[in-house]
Amino acid sequence: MTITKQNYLWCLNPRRQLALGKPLPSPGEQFSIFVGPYGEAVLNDAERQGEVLTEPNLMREDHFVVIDDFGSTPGVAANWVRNPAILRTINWVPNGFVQIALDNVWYYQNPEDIKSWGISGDASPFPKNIQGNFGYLLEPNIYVRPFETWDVRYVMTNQFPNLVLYPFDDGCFASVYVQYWEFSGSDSLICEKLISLGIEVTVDNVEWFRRQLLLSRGLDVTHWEWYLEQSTKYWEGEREKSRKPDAPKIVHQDKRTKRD
Amino acid sequence: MMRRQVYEWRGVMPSQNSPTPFSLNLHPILTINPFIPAYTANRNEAVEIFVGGYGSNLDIPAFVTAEQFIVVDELSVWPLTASCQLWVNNELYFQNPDGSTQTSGGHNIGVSGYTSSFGPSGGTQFKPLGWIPSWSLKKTPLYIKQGSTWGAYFYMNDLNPSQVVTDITTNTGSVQTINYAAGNIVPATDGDIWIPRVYLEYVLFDGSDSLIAFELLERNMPITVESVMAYKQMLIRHQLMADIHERKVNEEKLKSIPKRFS
Repeated sequence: MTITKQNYLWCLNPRRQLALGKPLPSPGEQFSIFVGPYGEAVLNDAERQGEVLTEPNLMREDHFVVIDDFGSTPGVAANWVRNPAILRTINWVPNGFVQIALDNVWYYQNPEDIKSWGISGDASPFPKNIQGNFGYLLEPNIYVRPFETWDVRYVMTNQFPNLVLYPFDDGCFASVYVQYWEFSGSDSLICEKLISLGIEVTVDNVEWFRRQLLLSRGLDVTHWEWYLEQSTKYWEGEREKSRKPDAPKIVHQDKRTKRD
Repeated sequence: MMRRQVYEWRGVMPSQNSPTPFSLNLHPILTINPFIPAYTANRNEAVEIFVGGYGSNLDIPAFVTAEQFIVVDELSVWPLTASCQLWVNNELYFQNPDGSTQTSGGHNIGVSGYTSSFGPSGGTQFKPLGWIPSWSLKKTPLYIKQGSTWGAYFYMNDLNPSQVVTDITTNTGSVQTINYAAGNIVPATDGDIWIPRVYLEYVLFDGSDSLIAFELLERNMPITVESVMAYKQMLIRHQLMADIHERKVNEEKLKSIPKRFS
C-alpha cells in the first residue's frame, strides 16, 4: 500500500554501445526505451552501464500507474559538428519523438487518425530549462491499469553522420525521461474504484478516498448508497473549490504551477 | 477516452535533392544537411499545413469522425514574422474587428509568431532570443464537431525576414537574415532558427467522451477535460440514484407478495 513518484531516464551513448558490441538504431526505427536493444537506463551502478531493463512493463494485478510527464532531447536539424583533431563527432541532434504504447494502442495519432511519431523533443524537452519550450503538458494523464503493458517508444529521425570517419565522442547524444506515479496494493484498488466513479486518479483523490473508507469503518462500503454518498461528497468538494478561484486546484496542481 | 494530442508542422525536407517540397504522413528522415524548400507562394499567400504541398503533410485533410470531438486550445508559429490562421469547414477562426475575415490583401492572417512563438532550438553558434509562451485558447478554445474538416493556414508574410539572435560563441547579439524565396540548406551554426513551424495542441475526445462533449456543447457549457469528467461523475451519480430507487421499489413490491411457504 504505497504511492510513489517514479522516474526513468534513458540515454543513448553511442560510444559505449559500440564498445559493448551493440548496434545503433536506424533513423526512423521506433524502439522501446525500457527493453529495446539500444541505449541504456541511467543507473548509478558502474557494472550495469549500457543495460536497459529485461522485462516489459506488464502491470501486476496490484499496481496502477499514472504517467505524468515525459520529455526528450530537443532540436530538429542535426547540427553536426566534428572535431578534426580527435576525429570524433562531438555534436549531433537526434530529432526524436516519444510515443506511448498501451497494449496494442498508440496514444498519439495524426489528425487523419493514423499513428504519429509522437511528441517531439521541442514540444516536450528534456532537460527542461528556463529557455525550454513548455508547450506540451500531458493533461489528462495516462492511466495504466492492472494487466496492461505499457511502453515508451522513441524514434530518431535524423541520419547519422559518417561514423566510420568520425565516430561519436563519449556522452549522451539522445535522452528520454519519463515520470509517473505508481500506486500499489490497496491504493491501486482505490484507483480502480475512482475510475468507476468517474473521478480523476491523483494522489490527492486517492488519499481522500482512503480517508472516506477509514471514516466509514464498520459500515458495508459495497452498498450503492455509500458510493452515492462519496460521489456526492466529491462533487460538493469540487464545487466548493470552484467558488474559491484563488484556491490551488487539486487536479494537476503541480503542472499548472509551471504555466500559471 | 480523452487524449491530449499535438500536430507539429515543419517546413523542412531531408535534403536539397528531395524530389518534392513536401513529405507525407510521418515527419521525414532528415539528412545531416536538411533543406528549407523555396517558398514559391507569394508572401501574403497561405499554405495549408496539412495538405498544402509544403513541408510535412498528411494524405488527406484533417477530418473529425462520427465518434470524435476536438478542442483546439494552443497554437504557436515560427518564424516570428510568420502567422497562422485556423479554419473549420468554410470558416476562418481569427477575424478582423469588423467581423470580416477578408482584407484587401487576402485573408485575416491570424496569430503572428511575435504573439505566439514556437521557440526553436538553436544551432552551434546562433540561438534565438527569449520568447513568450504559446497562444493559449484555454478560455475560448476552438470546438470542432463531428463531421467537420479543419486545418490551419501558414502565412510567411515576409520572404526576407531578419532576426536578432544571440551568438553563443561571443555572447553578443547578432542580426541574421534569410531569403525564403530561394531554398536554403540549414547550416549547423543556425540550427532551427529559420525552419518554418506551426504547433497545434488539442484534446481529442473519442468514444463515449465525444458524446458527452457534444452534449455539453448543446447545453452551452465549456468543454474541457474537467467538465467532461464532472459530467461523467454526474451520470454515474444519477445512475446510482436510479439503481437505489429501483431497488427500494422492488423491495416494496416483494413485501406485498404473499410468501408461498409460511
